[in-house]
This record gives sequence, structure tokens and C-alpha cells, in this order.
Amino acid sequence: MGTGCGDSPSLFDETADPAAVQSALVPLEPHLGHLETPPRLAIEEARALVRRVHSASPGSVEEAEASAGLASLYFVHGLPQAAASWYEVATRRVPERYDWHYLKGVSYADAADLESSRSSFDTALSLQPGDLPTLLRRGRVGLDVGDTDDASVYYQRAVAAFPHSAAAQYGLGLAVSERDPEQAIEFFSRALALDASADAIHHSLGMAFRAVGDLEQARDQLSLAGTQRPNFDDPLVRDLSELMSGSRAHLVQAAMARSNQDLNSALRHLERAVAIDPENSRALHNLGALLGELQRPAEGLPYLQRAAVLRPADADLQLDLGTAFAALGRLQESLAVFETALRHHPNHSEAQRRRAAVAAALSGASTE
Amino acid sequence: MLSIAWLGCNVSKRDQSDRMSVHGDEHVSSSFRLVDVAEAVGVSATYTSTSDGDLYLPRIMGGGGAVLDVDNDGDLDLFLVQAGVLSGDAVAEDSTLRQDRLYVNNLSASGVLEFTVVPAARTQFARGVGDGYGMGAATGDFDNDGWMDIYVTALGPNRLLRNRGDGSFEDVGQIAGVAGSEWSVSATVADLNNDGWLDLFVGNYLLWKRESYRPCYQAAGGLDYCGPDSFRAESNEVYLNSGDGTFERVSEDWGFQSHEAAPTLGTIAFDADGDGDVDLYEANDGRANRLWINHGGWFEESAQLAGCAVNGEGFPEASMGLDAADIDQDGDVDLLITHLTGESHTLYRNDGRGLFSDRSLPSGLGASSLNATGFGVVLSDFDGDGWHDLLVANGAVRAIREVATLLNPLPLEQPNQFLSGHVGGGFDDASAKLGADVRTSTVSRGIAAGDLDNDGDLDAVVINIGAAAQVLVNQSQPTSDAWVGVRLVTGEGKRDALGARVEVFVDGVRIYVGRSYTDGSYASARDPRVLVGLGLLRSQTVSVRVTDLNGTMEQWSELSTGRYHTLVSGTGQPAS
Repeated sequence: MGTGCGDSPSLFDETADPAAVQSALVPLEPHLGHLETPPRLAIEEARALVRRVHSASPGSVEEAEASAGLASLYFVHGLPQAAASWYEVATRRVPERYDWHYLKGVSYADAADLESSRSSFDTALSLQPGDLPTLLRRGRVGLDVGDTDDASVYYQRAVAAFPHSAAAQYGLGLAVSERDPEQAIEFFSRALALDASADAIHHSLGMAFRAVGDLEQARDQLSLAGTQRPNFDDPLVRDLSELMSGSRAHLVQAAMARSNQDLNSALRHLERAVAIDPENSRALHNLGALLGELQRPAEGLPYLQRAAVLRPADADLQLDLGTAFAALGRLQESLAVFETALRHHPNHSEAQRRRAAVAAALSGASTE
Repeated sequence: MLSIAWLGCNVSKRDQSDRMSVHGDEHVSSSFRLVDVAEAVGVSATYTSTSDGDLYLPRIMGGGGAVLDVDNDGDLDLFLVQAGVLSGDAVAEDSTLRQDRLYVNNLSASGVLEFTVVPAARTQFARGVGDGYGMGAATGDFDNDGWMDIYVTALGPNRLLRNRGDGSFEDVGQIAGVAGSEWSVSATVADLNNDGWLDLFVGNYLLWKRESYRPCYQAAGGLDYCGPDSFRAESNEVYLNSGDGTFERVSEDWGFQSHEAAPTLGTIAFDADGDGDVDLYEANDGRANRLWINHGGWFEESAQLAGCAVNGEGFPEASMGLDAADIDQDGDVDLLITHLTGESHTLYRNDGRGLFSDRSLPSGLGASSLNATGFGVVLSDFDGDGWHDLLVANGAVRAIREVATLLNPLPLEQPNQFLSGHVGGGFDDASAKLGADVRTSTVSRGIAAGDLDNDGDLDAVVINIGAAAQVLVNQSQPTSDAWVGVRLVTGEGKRDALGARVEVFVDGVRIYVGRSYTDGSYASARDPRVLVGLGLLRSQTVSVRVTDLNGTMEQWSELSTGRYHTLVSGTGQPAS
């Protein structure tokens, strides 16, 4: 197959209409130099598998499976255009695979190709008309292309089938908010009642109140607004994250999960990161700190200690280590760690504050 | 023949529909093209940010430039900022890599453009170690002497280049008290307190120090430039012009530092709430934007309820460049902000009372802008059909992995875009129609727009990192009289009346509302003259009503089309 499927037109059905082949997206094989070794090797292996299967049985279901596998690896490693192009290959071979059409739609959306995304989700919905993630994502594409009527159709279907989905109620609110803010207020309120943690809804609700002239309610809602959208369970995308194989990639995913308040997911990614690269001091540090935050300092302490050996001059790391010792009642060790941090960074005000607090606690204990 | 009677009328929705019918919704300039003539007209300047391998954020955040008439000969000259020496870098031997450049326009009577670079010895534009890493430019006549001055932003001390009027400049930034030491990117020049002297609003970005550099990674694990969250933001500054060559820093007194610092990249002044004075807007990178409403002597931050702090769904975005104009022709000023790949550019429509609604997606900006990182932006009628178009300078800040190669492992290049405006304020991506000159994939940042050849259509200068600046000349070839331009100057007849509102009428129908301004875009300054395309209208004359910052209205009737007019405050007829 050479360096890319673009070099191998035989991947496509040679009996197909040449015009259709001409307009087809050429499967992409991007440069992988930026990836860590584990994902790069995984992708290279997947490419080799596609080549082997293609040579042995071109146009087969196995080739489609291999193409979709390669697409999935591209997807989880932030290469959505390449992912979409390989899902395209897979769905041409096996058009009845709903999940590939869905993931192709997600990939196209990530690559900002909204028309292709819409078409992929439409096909997915023709195969599984009642699938909530597909309905929600198809509605989102309608919003993104500025067609709120189109978006409403899919959000209404989602609300009808899944009235307890906050994401569906929220999406429908967004779709109708321009033409009917009163109705949007209803949908946003229902969404909030279903998922109070989704504080982004307060913004939309506030703007809808503003649109109907109720500035007081608008102010109240806007003051509560945050950036947490209503979540929905998306098993196909969630399962793909298991394919992620780079330590750093998991570290970044953990940070993203954490910023979304999804601490369990952050924990999973950090554990994977440490498992892949036990010397990744950042992953060790973050894992130890997160366990402390989850009230599991005894589990977190060994990770922090290992990280501190690797990065002895990092004041933030020393702070977390000292705090973990303190949480476990090991105040002398805590004090020593804070003093180490201050030796490296004498003006570190937080280290000074915590050192003083531990010293006071120790002095109180000795007085007693 | 036009009468005066209509000048005081209210322009309603009906007038707006009249406007549409007289203009038509066809694009009148099907031959519209923007062609890069930089080399042919003698402009050869590259914003150069050298790299020693580390991915320092300042290296990908400049630069900008300005189009301004430095010699008062009636045509626009060019000022292009150079990066210079990033603290800790080796000093480049090539002195052109260390100095900003001024190109004087020698426009011929027949309209032939030619620029000549002003020798470095005259300009004092050289940048040495400690002189600041150049970012952008803002323009205005700070000392009311009739010569346009230049404020140059930088990572490090900014410069205020006072135009001596003899083709030379002196840096008075330190003496005037406006140099600062932060990382400034964009700045706005406006008369914030209506005292007749131009003040300064400086957008500061992040607290960046070379020694605190840490590597950052993309979601897939690859090394990349850091985002703004990796640094502490710096507060913006407001400097009030004392009129004696110095400025008073009023950032705290006027309330600008009462909020947590945010990383500002774009700034613009306009009358958001329709009360006649100048309000300020700051575009922040990854944080909520701010709208500072002018209450005469103090400012109140009002963006959240005004609906222009975050996007329509409540999310702060990576705001870079911006422009403000009456996109939907309802008489108030709307806002457009460019954003990161994956975030659409945002169009906030003003309801006339300073309440904005995010109309990005219905306006067609979603699909067209999601796959690019926009910086400089110009919201003006390029094709002369009477509707505002969008010219956007694109260039990523995070490596585009899917086009990476062994030789270019961290590609940031993206094609620039032209979006054609149409009836009602929507946009269609028309980049492809303009050809390679616009769509060249570069790492573009600032755009400075102005009518370089005084032919009645808008040209633009695009500043690129590591590639030559483009001088995009508009080759619309409009009907010779299907436009009118006005330069508004203050009562003394000396300086541009920045912030003054302009309304243009044809046959009693208001066809345009705008203002004189030089700010917006990204780190760049535009032509302060107001240029109005008349589309299908074939009137020989127009009338113009001007409202200054004190609310005084004047009118000028029967101004001939196809040329520029200088309207001096106090020489028109009183209007109400």
C-alpha cells in the first residue's frame, strides 16, 4: 500500500462509478512524529494490518474492520480528519454498521466538516432511529450550521423518547430560544431540574429571561452560570478512550476530565498514565494529589513520594506531599517537606503558610 | 435633488427595507478581487520571530501594523511592527530583523501605488535588547498637532512614537508615562472623557518570562505551544491624556482593575449603548470578554447581562481579534470576534440599547469559521454592495497535527478567509472566489485596512509570521461614482475625530451608519476615514450627518460621490 492509502486506489471498489470514486475522500495517513511511542506503534501496527488484510482479501469485511480499527486510533489520538476518512472506507465496505457511521459523524464534527457529519448521523439514524447520542449530536450539527428548525426536529425526537434526558431538554431549549424564548425557558428549567450540576444551563435560561424582558430573573440566572453542560452517556466514544496508549495523552485527558469535574474519569486516566510510564513524574504527582482530594491520602502518598524523588525542586509537588503527610497525621514529616520546599523557593507564600500551620500544630501537640 | 427635511427623521424597519430595495441583494461587484501587490509596490517586510527550538508563546502572538497618513499628503502610509529581540535570544545581525518599518506612499495622480521605506536613521524604530518584543500598533494624534502618532505595543515597554511632522519620530513613551512593562498586544485610541484629547486603553495579555518556560502538550500527547491557562493574566491599563505631553494612569480610579486580570488580545471603542459616548470592549483569550460602559468619568463592566461576555451558550472562548460595525443596518453597532479552531467566530447583534445576542450560527459563521483560528478581522464593505463583509487573518496557535510533516512538525499555517456579507447581515464564505492571494496558507495575525490607492474601495495589509506581509489591493473596479468617503476632523481642523458617528443618506433614506475609528482587528490600526459603497444606487450626491462625542450634530448636503471629503467640525449645518 505504500506510505498511504492515497497511493492505493485499489482500496476502493474498482467497479464503482469512477465519478463517485473521484469525489470520495482519500483515506489519510498523517505524519505521526508528534505522538508518543506507544500510540505511534499502535497506529503503525494498525496500518500494517490494513495493508495485510487488503492484500489478502480486498473489499472484505475484515478489511473494513481493520480500517475502522485504524480510524478509532486516529480518533482517540486527536486526528479526526484521518479518523473520518478511514471510517469512510469502513462504511463503504460494510454500510450496515451503525456504530461506524456514528463515529464517522463525530469525527467529521470534530474536524469541522459539518455537512459530512450531518450526512453520517443521518445514515446512523436510518439504522438506529432511536439512539439518544445520535439524536443529540445530529441536533447539535443543526445548531452549528445555523438551522434551528432542523435542530429542533432531532431534539424533539430525543425529548419524546427520553424525557428525562437533561441534554435533550437543553438542546431543544437552544433550538427554540430565538423564536420562542418563553418555551425555551420551560425546556431549560426542565433540564436544570434533571441535572442541577449542569450550570451552563443557567446562562441560556438567563438569556431567555432577558429576551422576554424579565431582567431580574435574567440577572439571577446569569449569576449562577458556569461551564458544565448536561452530560449524556456516549458509550461508543467512551469505549474508544480505552484505546489511548500514551502516558502523556492520558495525563492531558485527565486534566480535561478534571476541568469538567469528572474526577473518576480523571483518576482512571491518571492510573493508566502511571501504568504506561511509571517514571512520569507529572502523572505520579497528579495521581497522588487527586487521591488526596478524594480523601484517600494513604493511597496517594506513595505516588507523591515517587514524584518528589524525580522532581525534588518542584514546590507545588512538595506542597502536595507535605499536605498528604499532614492529612495522615505525620506532622514531623510534613514539616520537613514544607521546609524543603522553602529551601528551594524561600518566598513561596503558600509553603510558608502551610509550614507555619504545621509548626503551630506540632507546638500545640508538644504543649499538651 | 435632496432636501434637508429628512435629516432629522427616525429610521425605522421600514426604512431598512427601503434600504434593501434600493440596494438590492445581488452582489454588484462580481469582478471583486483582492490581489497581493506587496512586491510590485515596494513593500517587503516579514514579521520575523526566530526560534531556538523552545515553543515560546510570544513568538506566535505578533504582529501587527497600521495604515495611516503620516505625512498629511492625503494617502495612507504603512507602519509594520517587527518582533525584535526576545529577552535571552541572540541578537540578530541583520538589522532589518530588529526594527519596525515605515513605508511612505508615493501614490501618483493616476492612482499608481508605490511605497518607499523610510531610512532607519530617521525613524528611531530600531529594537535592541530590552526594547520590547514588538507586537502591534495603534494610531491617533495624541498631541493635537495635526500629525498622526503611533503607539507600538510589545512584550516589554511600549513606545509612543510622536510624529514630528518632518518624516521623523521620537519615542516619548517613557516621558508620557504610557510605556508600561507588561505584554501588550492591542490598544485603542479614543477620547474617553470628551475633553478633546485622545486617551489610551491598552490591552495586556499574560505574564510571560522566559525562565519560567515549561513544555505543554496537546491532548494526544505531542509537544505544543502553551495556552493562556499556563500563565497569569495581566491587567489592562487606561491612560488619560493630560494635554501636556503626559498621561495619567487611571486604571484603578476608573474601575478597570476592580476585576480579576484577564488575558486581553483585542480592544475596541464604540458606543455600545447608544448614549453618544465611547464605551470599551476587550476580547480575552479563553476568559469572558468585558464591556466597559462609560458613565462619564468612570466605567462599569456590563458584559454579562449585555450578553457579550461569553458565547450564546455561556462559554468563554479564545477571543483574539474583533471589529464593530452596523452589520444589520439598524443604526447601532454590532460586534464580531474571531476565535480558535473549534470555536466559531462570534457575531453579537446589538438591539440598540446595548443588549447583544449571539447570532453567529444563523449568520453563517459556524460552518465557515470552525476550522480556523482567526486573528485580525475587518468588518467592512469590501465589494461595494452596501453590506459589511469579513476579511479574516487566520493562523493556528496549536500545531495542526493532520498536516504535520517531518520538515514541518508544528504547522500553524491556515488560509485566510473572505466572507461576503449579504442582506440582513449574514455571511457566505467567498474565499475561493478570491483566489490564491487571499487564501495563501500563512500564519497571519494583524490586518490593517484602508483605501491605499484612494479609488473608493477598501484594501488591506495582512501581517504574517515568518512570511512577507501582503498588500491586498481591491480590484473591484467600482462604478466611478458609486462610493463616497469622508474624513472627519475636529474643530481645529487638525486631527481625526475618532469616535464621531456618521450617517449617510441618499434620497432621504439612510443607507449607512458608521464612525471614524482606527482600532479593532488584531494589534493593528485602520484608516480612520469612512468609506461607503453605494451599491446599485446611482446618486450623484449624498448627504452626511455627523454626531460628535458631545452630541453635537451637523450635516453636509449634496456631497458629490466618487471622492473623499474632509468634513471639519463646525463647518456643517446644524442638525437635530
